[in-house]
Amino acid sequence: MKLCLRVSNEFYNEGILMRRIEKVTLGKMGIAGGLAIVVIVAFSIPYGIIPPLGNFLLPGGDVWTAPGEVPLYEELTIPGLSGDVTVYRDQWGIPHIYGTGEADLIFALGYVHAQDRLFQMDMARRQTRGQLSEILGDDYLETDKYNLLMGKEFWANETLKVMETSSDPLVKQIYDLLLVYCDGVNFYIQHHPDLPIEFGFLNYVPRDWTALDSLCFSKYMAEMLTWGYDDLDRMNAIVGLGGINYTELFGNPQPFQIPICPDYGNYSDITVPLSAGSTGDVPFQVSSAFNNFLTQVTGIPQEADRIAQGPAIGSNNWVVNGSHTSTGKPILCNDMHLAWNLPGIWYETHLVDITPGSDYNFYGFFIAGVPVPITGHNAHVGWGYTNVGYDVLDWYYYDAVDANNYWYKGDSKPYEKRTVTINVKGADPVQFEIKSTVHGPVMTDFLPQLAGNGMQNLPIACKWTAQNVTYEFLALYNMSHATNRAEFSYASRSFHVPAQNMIYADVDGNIGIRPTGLVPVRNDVVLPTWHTGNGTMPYNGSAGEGEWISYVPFDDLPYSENPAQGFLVSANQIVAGPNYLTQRSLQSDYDSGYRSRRINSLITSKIKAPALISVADMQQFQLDVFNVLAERLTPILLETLDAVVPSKSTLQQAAYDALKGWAYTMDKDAYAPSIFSVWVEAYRAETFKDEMTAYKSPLTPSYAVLENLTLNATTNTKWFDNIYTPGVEGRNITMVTAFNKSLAALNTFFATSHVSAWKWGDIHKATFKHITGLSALGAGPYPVNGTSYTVNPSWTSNYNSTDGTIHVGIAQGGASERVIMDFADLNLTLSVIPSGERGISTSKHYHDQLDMFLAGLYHVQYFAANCTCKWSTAWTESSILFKKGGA
Amino acid sequence: MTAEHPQETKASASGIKWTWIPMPLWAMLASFGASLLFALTPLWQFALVSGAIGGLLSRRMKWGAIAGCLGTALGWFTYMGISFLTTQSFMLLGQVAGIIFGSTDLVGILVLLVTLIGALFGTLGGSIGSGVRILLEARKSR
Repeated sequence: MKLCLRVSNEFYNEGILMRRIEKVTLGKMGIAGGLAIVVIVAFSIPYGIIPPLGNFLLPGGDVWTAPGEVPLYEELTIPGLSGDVTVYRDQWGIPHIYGTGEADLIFALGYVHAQDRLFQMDMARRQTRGQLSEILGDDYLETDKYNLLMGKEFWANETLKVMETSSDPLVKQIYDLLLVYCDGVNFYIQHHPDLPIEFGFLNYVPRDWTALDSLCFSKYMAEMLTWGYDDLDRMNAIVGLGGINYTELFGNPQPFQIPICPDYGNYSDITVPLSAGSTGDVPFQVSSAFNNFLTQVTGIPQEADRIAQGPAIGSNNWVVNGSHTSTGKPILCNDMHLAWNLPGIWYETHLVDITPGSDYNFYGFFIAGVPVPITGHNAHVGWGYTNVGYDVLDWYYYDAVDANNYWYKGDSKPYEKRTVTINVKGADPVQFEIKSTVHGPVMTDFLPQLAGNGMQNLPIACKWTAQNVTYEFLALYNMSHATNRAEFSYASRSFHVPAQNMIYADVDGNIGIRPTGLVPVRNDVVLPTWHTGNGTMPYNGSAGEGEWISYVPFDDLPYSENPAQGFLVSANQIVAGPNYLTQRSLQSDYDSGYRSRRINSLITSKIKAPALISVADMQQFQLDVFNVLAERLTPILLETLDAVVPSKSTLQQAAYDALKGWAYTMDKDAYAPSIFSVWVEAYRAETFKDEMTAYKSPLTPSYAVLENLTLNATTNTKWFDNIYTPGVEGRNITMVTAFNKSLAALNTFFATSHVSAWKWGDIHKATFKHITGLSALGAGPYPVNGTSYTVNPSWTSNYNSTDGTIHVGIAQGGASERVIMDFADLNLTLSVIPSGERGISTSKHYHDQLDMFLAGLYHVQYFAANCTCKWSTAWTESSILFKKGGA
Repeated sequence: MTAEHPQETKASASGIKWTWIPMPLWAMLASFGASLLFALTPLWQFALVSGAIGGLLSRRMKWGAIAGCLGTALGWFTYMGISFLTTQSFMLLGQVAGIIFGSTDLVGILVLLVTLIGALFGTLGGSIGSGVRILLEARKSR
């Protein structure tokens, strides 16, 4: 009995113990479970720009599954192919695609574009179509609205509708190719769930690619190259300076221009601007309305970047015919100057149609997302571009009737309206109403900041050539298939936006250039006296001013074919000389001309030698960093120093000696370029800043104007006088003042008076930003040769005229590709891009060509491999076989 | 030998002597293996499960937590090491370090961070797993 009780007690006690253990354990488990939930939630939610760290950073997440290099060999079975397609990637990762029929080639092109550049493609289409808020949140809502207002997506869609229903077999064929391209992109997207790291970082997945996405790219390029606010700046400059001063400093033509097309005469070396100035005052209401608009627009980061970027946009192309080349055939060069980004804008591809009887063998530069090449060469013809700078964008202001109507030619007219939906990450979709006048979309009333300050009574709309159904894809397709000059010229008729100087050569020895694109003809019959016409300033839309009545007929645009001089050069300068028959002012804005002067000089000096120009010479030309401005101004500066400062300080003498012994090349390891560059910036500021500040001009005269005034010193022009000082300064005093200020600034910056330590590369660098701006995915800064106005350009500024200090200039734009086409043997054609083929930041091809670019090197194109049998396995880094098969 | 040593015999409050509990090395190994396996999936939350597996094989919560912690941390560390050797993830992690910390050289901090997060998940999972075992055993002995 006792024993039973004891056992019973033990069981009882143990039961209590077990319950206690259970209770304690449950408590601890509760704490652990609660903590686990907190931690899981913490790692599952984004923190601002930081993605959910669990999915991004932890094993199995995006960082660990992001694609790296492409597989060495892939074999994919694709339904619908007409034959097998082979893709060989060479040692730079460039795909050489061999297939039977163009549809197969384009499918493979879509696949490799997505494989290498999917994030870049997605961002470009989102930017163009106003869909950034969907992935980046409401911070980008204004940007999206602005992009939608521009009408890029709308007009790309209109173009798509026309293509879908077109009875033209060629248009239909291109439309079908667009769809095949989409299939190629989407095949990659659907079969590769592991995405580039940027998708993980932004925490989204790409949707399927559509034909509209591709078509948006022509509008994207048009925006990149032709959208801007020059008309507004011009108006403000006239408001401030007055018409006479404006014409002297900014009128047409600018000095020292060598026209692109030599068939229309030349301007004298030093030219007095010809264009009539304006008289009378711009109404305050108009100028203040546009100033308000511009102020608000600069609050949109995309537009602020565009305004700041300015001079980075440009390009060089030139061609020399066979009578002056060592090969006996034309050599064509092109380097298009755009913003430097990683991945770069261009995607090199070699396409070969191996169908018996086809000789389609094309090597060129594509934009990932676009199935037609932008530039390149086939076995017969090749071409390249520079931006023309035709005035293709006008601004109109109106008298408003009310929120729904505006005055137009004396009548109240209702706005056309359409509503678009903008998806916003983490918020409800936004319905956005777009209003349009007879001219184009109203750009003002979406900016809430403008409400209540009178702006609602002065709507501003724009009219732009890209706001049309345009056929660049048709042009590019035909250009890439042209076999002679006539076919190419015919093809270029369809190239509408962005207007380009198309330089051309062929294996038959022809050369040519055609500045082409849509150029509006305006009705400028009735204009106020202050208006300079030709789309140079905003128009009164209500009064019907500046109506676009037609476009300049293609055959009326200037061009040149096989000119007597034997070469052609374009570097964004003026397109035609004084004899251009239509008497139209086509361009409102063009380059100051230093690059074109230098290229013309390099070519003519060879021809006059006489010497034949080789591909190696052309490489030197493309990499040339001779500073024409320095060549012109440095001797005058040295003369002036001798005259004004006969007894120089040690520092002045050292700088003087450096400039005297300088060959005017902007070498990053030299120090004279630093002295000249800072001095010329200071000299321009000393000359113009007083008046430009006093008269509130947003424009500063170009260096060409400064050069003109400097050389024309006998008049000792008023611009050299500092209006804030009691005395009257002339050219010489201004030059010396700038010289002393620049030496002081350099001395302070480098913390040494030893001028040999003032290396140009220490204050002049280039950087290559990732398209998201994430610095860890970018490259640089690198010290680089050149400057803003050298043939090999890198646009920077070092001098701060406000406080007289200097800073390191970081160039963010320049040559976006370099190509030299040798029409004696196109297999000897050379090219390079300042990035790499693959947009994957860990790939060896992310910026492998950037290293070559910075070193002035090029790569071959293996163009002679026009069938797989001629492709050497020694060139192959990886390959893909798309096998015909399946249902 | 301290009281915390795994090979020490410890009496319960009731006087019942627990048997010798060997070091649950195999519990840690199980957690390690499971965490490696789960790292092949995109579900990082499974790190709790890998910890719990280690915990289930431990009789005391403390040792479950330790087994889960060490096993999962080691598993993730090993996963990262294998990834570094076989893919370009080291470079990519460096770029992520550049984005987050401003320097690609700080990749070690991210490796340490991921390992510590693995340890945290393992600890929590191990605690829960061993707790489940303790509860089951307590009910069984009742």
